[in-house]
Amino acid sequence: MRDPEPTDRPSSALQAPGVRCESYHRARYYDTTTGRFIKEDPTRFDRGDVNFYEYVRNNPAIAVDPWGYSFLVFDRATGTLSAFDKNNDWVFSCDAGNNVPVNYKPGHWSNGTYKYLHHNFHPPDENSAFGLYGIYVFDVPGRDPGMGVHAGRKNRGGPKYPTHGCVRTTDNCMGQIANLNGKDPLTGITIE
Amino acid sequence: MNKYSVFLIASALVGATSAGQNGCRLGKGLFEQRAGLISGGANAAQSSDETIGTKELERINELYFQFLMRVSGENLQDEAESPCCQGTEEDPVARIVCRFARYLKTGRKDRRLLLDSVPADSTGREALWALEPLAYLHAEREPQNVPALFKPSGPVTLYLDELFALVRSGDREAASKYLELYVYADSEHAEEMDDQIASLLRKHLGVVLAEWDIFQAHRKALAKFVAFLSSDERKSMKSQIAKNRACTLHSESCHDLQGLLSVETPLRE
Repeated sequence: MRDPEPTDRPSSALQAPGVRCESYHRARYYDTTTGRFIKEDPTRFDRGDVNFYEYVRNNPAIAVDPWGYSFLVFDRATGTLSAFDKNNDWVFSCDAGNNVPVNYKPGHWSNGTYKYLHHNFHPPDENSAFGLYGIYVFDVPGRDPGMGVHAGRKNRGGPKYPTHGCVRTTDNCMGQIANLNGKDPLTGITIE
Repeated sequence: MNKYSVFLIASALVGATSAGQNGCRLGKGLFEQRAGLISGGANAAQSSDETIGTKELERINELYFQFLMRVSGENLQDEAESPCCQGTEEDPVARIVCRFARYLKTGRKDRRLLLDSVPADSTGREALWALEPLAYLHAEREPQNVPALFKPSGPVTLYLDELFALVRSGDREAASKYLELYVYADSEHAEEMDDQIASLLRKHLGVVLAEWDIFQAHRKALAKFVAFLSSDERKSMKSQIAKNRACTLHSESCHDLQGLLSVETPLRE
């Protein structure tokens, strides 16, 4: 395992061997070429018709928690972070950025879909690196643990202010994510 | 049987004989096994290998989680070492956690405990960054099921806070180790360190300039910090530094620092 400074980094901490998280959210697939979600029948998992782990094993593109529901999509082109609930319905969108200095070797958060790991607390301060709501952390192969979505730097441009790879949004957006996560547990994020 | 299968079987055998015998003891080579399983995953060709590898990785992560919970939860008399930590010197996670836990539990009296825990190689740093996902292994579904010693933030956040407290107090060794870590930090923890370095320059400039030889030796870290500042922020920081009395006392160091703050770095959007 190497550090982020060298350009070619291996996979992240909790990634399961051979199991890649591409574009699956429970109950739906996200087609990154069309930007649309393709529905699956979630009740097949609930009824036990499909063994999730067997299903995952036979579908190497799947590695997302089967109990989660809501998920996020960051659209780099529009600078928008959108949230969708367990019914695939759009819930809200907000301004977001993924800016890094040109000479930062680990670079942007690469496009793909990543499993949600945990939330981490940081002292609430809207002008700090994280803002008022801490950080929602995702499993991002090839980066150190800690890639996530947070707010912060309100007094310096908010979402546009550079990060070390994370997506930065607004405190208002983070508050909405916290509410959504309380109702429909967060599953993952798609960066596109 | 391919090379990956052989590795998985060997890993399972080593794990079975050495890990978890006392509920919290870590077997030799556990972290290396874990690293091998993670990096091996990208090349695993057969689905049965993937399943075995996934289960083995889950088992190892669980061992580390239980280890963190035990070390965090123990209420030891005086400065006794945790039984979980005995004989685990070679494990890079235990090496950090055992010293860090003792440092916290003994009232932060012995700075040597913390300083000796700071990783100096890439495996050690990998172990440090891994502490958070290991501590939060079950937090997604059980937010309260995390090692209490590190709350409310995760272990890495607290670790950096504690190391930074030594830097702020003028500890030269802490400053050197902290800046070295920053060079290799990424994402959340690098951003936390950005805030700390900014506060060091704004509120503790005297410490920076008095120990400028240490900071100068880590110019790469300072350049990384500056690259994340906006143009306005650099100007504001330069102006604030120029007005500081410490700048008069250490004019040469101050001039050097202001030179670093003059470098513009464009953003990639």
